[in-house]
Amino acid sequence: MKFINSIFFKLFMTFLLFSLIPMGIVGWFAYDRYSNNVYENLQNHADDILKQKMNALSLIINDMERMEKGITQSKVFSEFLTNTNPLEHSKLYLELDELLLSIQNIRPEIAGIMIVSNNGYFYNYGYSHDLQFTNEGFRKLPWVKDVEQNNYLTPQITNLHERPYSNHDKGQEVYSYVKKVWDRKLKSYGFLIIDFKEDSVKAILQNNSGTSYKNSGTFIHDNSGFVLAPENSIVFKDVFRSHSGSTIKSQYGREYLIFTKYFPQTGWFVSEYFEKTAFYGPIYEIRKIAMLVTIITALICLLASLFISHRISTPIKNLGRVMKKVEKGYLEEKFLVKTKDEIGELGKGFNTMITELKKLIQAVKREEKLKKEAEITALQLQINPHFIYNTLETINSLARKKREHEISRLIVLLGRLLRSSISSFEEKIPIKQEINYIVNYLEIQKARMRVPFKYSLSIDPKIENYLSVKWILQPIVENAVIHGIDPIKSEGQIEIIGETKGETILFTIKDNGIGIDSFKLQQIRHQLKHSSKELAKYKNKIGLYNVQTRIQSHYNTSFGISIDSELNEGTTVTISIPMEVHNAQDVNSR
Amino acid sequence: MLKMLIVDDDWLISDSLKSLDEWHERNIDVVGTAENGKEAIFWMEQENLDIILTDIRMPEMNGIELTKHIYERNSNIQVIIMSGYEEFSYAQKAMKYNAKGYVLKPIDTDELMETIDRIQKDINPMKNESSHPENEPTTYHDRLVLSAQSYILANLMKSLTLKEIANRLHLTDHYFGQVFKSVTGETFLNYLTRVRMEKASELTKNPNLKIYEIGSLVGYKDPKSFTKTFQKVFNMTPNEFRKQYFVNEKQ
Repeated sequence: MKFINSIFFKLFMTFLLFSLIPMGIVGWFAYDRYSNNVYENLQNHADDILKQKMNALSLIINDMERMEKGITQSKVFSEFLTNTNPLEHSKLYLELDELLLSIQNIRPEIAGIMIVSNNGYFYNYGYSHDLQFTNEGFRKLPWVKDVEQNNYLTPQITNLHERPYSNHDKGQEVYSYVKKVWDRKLKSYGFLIIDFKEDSVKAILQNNSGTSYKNSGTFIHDNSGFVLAPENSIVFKDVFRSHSGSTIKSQYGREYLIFTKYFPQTGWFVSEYFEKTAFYGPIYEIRKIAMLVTIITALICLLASLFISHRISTPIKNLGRVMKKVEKGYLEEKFLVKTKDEIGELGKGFNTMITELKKLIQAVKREEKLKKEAEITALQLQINPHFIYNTLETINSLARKKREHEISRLIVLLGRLLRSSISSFEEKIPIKQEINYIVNYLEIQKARMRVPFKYSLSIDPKIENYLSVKWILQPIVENAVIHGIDPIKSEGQIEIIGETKGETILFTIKDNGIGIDSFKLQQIRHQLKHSSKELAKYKNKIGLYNVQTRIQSHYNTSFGISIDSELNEGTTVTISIPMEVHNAQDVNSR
Repeated sequence: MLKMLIVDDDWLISDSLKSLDEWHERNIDVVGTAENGKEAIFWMEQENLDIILTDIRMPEMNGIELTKHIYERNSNIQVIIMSGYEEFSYAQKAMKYNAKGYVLKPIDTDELMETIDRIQKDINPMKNESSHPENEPTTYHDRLVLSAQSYILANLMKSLTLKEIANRLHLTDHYFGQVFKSVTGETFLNYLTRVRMEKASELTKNPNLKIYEIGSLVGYKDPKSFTKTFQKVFNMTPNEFRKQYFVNEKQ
């Protein structure tokens, strides 16, 4: 039996399918919903944060604008821009200081304010000016150039830059609020530059709202690069290419989700990034648990199906074994019923069946025997043997009266022959009886012949009590007399030998009759070997083939008849049967 | 000289066996033949028999019963059974009642003689010890009359004639009548009537039998003729005879 056909395998697959498929579907849905949920939450959260931060940024920008307005609308400022007189400059400088002292209060944390007039005058608040830094140098600054050339109406916020114009702390990087400004009469212009420190922006953008996400943060970029670089090693190229909600990879292979919002006041993009593993962590945890549960379930299925299939298949296998034995003819086998389930019922049914079968076989056997006996009885009733014996005795009496001894002898022989052929119901008789039968037969035949023949018997006394199938010698002897000796019309001779050879009893019937030609002999031998059964049954051949069939069906094919003959020399037939001891039980059983 | 009786209901068989030459060779005298066991017992009472050769299946009393009777009488008579039956139960019973041989029909003379020879060997020493001279020797004529009487006793219900019995004995009826009268002192007819009436008087003692049944059992087909003959012999009718018998019984 193939493993794939076994009960164990079928059960295992069924259990596995029934447990794993629903579990898989539920798991997958849960995982999907949960992760979507988490993602949406994150998105909302990111949105909120970004809005907050942009509001904060707008506040700064608005404050800057207010400061700008405060400065540009003052009379001093207009005078400063239009002033060409160096002496006047100092007086204005002091006046501007007064003005700015109050304006600076709007944003006390700013790094400093610088006003540059078109006439080349500088005003600095919050820091002292580097005297080496001239108007020409100022004009060469990239962000000044940008504003100069493009004439922006809106204020520009620069990227982080160093402050070459400051007398100290030149290396401190700051953002600058830059605006091209005009006097009241719009006759001359200048630049207003409010520097503010990176920290001030950072402070705003810091996630101080107690975010639960690790490894998250904010950065700002515009079209050309980072305005405020992220703390993690995220490459600008990737950021620039990706849109809000997508995943990017850091240089170290970590994955981040980023959400971006455009900040129109400055043309910045504000982005919030989250490390994926940090917020997917719980989901991965769930996935891990789900996998573990699946494996454990599969194991349980395996064990359960092993157990159940063992419980189911062991009795079935036992039943199968018993059935095989019964098939081979051991009807004494019984199936041990241990359980009360269907298999137990099956076993009980099987046992009942065997018992019935046994009864049936016995009944058939008994019936056959009865039938045979009935046949013989019917035969005996047709010609009541006692009537025949009495009639024979009457003839015998007449012969006695007339002193006809030969007739009397023949009648006696005939009576004996008749008696032995109908007296026994048994299939097997002692060899002694078989020999007596052929002696009677030969004596009668002798009287019938024109030229009486001679016969000799040499039977080993040892074999006389062994059993033989009934009437196996007479047909052969009859053949020897009728087909062998009768045609030669001279004194025939028949020799009958009974002897043992190992565990076999051999009878040899030898005549000096006409013999059989070799072609016919070959044919007889072939038929004896292959078709004696059919010949005996359908062609009513009661001689050789009948004897052969009866011997071989009672014993086996290693026993039977062999024949040897030579034309005009005679024929020798040898019969072999096993040594079968007389069994008293067989005789008495009815 | 051993005396032998052959018992078989088939007369041809017993007669042919009786005529065998082998008996003379063996110095055996076949005193007669009987048709059933009862007849055989009659012969046993008349003659000092040594051997009985008997069939089994016979009317009135079969061979086994006869053998049993002999065995119970503790008689010295040797029994040989001859039968067409080979059944084990018969042979077993025969052995139980001490039968000396069992010969199957059709009878092989040689086999029979072998049995006889065996028995002769057994008997001869006994015989020599007590050779019995009483009521011996019966003459040829005595034998003939015994045979006739045996036959008559066995066949009382038949209408027997002198001629019929003479034929059985291979004699002319005239000669047989003379022999019978000289041996018994009464005529055959007298004897026959006497035996019949004796039997009838016996039978009247059985109250279950009607008078006409008794008549037919002793060979009278006509009840009137039976009553007439009975009255002549006993001076009363069978019914009166019966009444008288039962009155005597009571007293």
